Amino acid sequence: MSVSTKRLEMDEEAEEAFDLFDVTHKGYIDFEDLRRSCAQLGENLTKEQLQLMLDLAGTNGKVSREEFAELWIHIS
Amino acid sequence: MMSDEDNTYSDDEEWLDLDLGLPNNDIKTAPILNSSLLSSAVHGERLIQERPTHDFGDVEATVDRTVEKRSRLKITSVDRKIRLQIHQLHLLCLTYHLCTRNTWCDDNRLNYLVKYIPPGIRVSLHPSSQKSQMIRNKTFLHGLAGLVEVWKRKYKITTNGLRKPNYGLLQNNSLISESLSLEEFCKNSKLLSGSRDYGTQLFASILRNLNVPTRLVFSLQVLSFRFKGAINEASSHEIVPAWSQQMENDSSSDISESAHITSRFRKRRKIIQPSFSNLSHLDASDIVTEDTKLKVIDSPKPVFWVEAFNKAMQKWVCVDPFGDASVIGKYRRFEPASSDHLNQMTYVFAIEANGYVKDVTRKYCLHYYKILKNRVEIFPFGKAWMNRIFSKIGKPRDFYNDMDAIEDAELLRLEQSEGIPRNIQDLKDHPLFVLERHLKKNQAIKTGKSCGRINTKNGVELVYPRKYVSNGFSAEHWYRKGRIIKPGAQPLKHVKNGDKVLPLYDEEATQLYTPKPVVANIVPKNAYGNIDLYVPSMLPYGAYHCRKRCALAAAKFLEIDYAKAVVGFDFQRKYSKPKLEGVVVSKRYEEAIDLIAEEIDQEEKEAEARNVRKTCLLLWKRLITGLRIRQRVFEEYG
Repeated sequence: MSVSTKRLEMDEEAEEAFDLFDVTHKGYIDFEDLRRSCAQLGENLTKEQLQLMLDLAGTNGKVSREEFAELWIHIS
Repeated sequence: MMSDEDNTYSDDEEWLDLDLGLPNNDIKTAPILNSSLLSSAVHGERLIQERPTHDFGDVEATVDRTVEKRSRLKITSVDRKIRLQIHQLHLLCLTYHLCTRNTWCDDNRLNYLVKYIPPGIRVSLHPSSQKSQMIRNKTFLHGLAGLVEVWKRKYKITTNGLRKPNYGLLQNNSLISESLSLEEFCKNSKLLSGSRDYGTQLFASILRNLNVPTRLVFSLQVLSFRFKGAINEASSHEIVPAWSQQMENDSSSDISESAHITSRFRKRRKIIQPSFSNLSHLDASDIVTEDTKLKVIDSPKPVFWVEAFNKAMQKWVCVDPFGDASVIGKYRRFEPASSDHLNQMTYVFAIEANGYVKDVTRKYCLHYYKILKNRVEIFPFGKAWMNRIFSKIGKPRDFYNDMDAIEDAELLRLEQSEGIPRNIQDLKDHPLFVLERHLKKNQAIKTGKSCGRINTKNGVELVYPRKYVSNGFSAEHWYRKGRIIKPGAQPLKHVKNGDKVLPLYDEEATQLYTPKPVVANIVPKNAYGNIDLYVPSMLPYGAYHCRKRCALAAAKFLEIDYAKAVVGFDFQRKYSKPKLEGVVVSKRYEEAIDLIAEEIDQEEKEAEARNVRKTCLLLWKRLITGLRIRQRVFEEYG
């Protein structure tokens, strides 16, 4: 019971975090989303670093909701 | 018609097979070539854009600064390689040009040109076999002379033909010559006007239609691979715009400014003077472009001419359709003077109606050794490279006949009869002969008799065949080639090196260096604890050279005896640093060290991949945390 409750909370947090990136609700996170996020936060990441992030989490330069949820497990 | 198409297809197939054939032709050279040419073009373009259009002072300053900048450029070995490759490519392109035009000369649409030839000349070109050889020869030559006179009256030269190129002019795009398609080639023949080269090609077509065996001869104007006069290339490129601006501004100035401009013009004349000879025909070329009625400036010697076969003498007779009739049959009258800026004789190819090409340069040049300096055969690979080309476009031995054998014999006789030059300057860099005074510091005449003598101010000097010249190197230099000096060997000569006297040895005084073998799995080492491995023969018996990336780590892991391999030296900023590549161990550990080296390499790659993944996760976490904090701040404080 407690394990399933914690899992549910994680899914909700992952959904909220995904929407922080995907502000246009197109269903995936791409290079432009990462670039805009860096600009908003004042981070100076290079193109190569952003590309590495996309390659790690997603496929073909896009991160779907399922892939992001998988990533969330490793981060939190 | 069908045969022409087949011939064209065959030609295309042959050209696709050719490559440059450089011995060190690596993939890296091609991008260097492209980038270098592109940077050169961009550099030239930028200079043109930066130049102001009104202020003369700035123009002059810019010219001086640019010339000064160019003269300080270093010529690297890559630059030389690029020039050599451009030379080879240009040679192939011009050879293809010759083959293409030769094919077009046989087009049926040019058959009507024979109507301009009077019947008397036609009869002269085919004298009766009943007459004696001397009369037949004279009649044939008279026919050729008459044909030349007729053609000179019919055809008008209105544009420039191919010229000797140089790198400075190419950037100005001034070497514009007519480029024709096959249809234009045939259609323009009705005008009976054009360039001198085009007129010669039509002349060849007429001779072939008169059933006279004819070869089209082309003195290929190839871009040189040498850097002689490199500064002039830059200056000729820069000064032309200034000259044009001066011309334009001069025409529009009023009386009050003319005196001032004249004084500047006199001052600028000194800058222009070194390359004025280049400017003169450039200026003429521009005028010709504007008004074709003005005189065309061509070299006094032709670039294209023909050779007609004289059956009476069984020899080819050279004919310049636009030259003097007295030139017919005189090969030595076709070589341009060394001071001619529009023409150069380096490669002279003759092509028959059947498409076979022959190199007949030796027939037309007076001193082949002077021309040889500008030919690709001066390089070690050049002769083989040329032979590969002519094995594809030359006449096979199976098709040889009497006239080919006679011409080959003549070319060989010319080669053997060329004697020793009579002045010292010509003997310098001569491919066959050498004087002792021209030898380099590490060269000497070892053995052999002199083959002649020459008078100098200091008396008589002996001339030696160049094959008797031996190159000497120091013992250290031979060691870097894997050889040591034999015991008791005599040095070739001694040279001064600072305070020391250094003995130089030739190859006969050396022997292969044999290092000590591996004993009890201990690798022999030098004074620095490494092993010298400049050439593969320096590997000791029983040793193995592991060149894998982690060879050193593997040897340490296995706790075996090893030595780092010194394969050469890097000379940078007055210091020589050894180049290490892998380690040398006993052959007994060959399999073990290869395996461990690969495992260590794999482990390092996996560790690096884990690091990258960890860094990415940290970046994601940082972004997500930042965005969540930003979102909360917005929600609470609007």
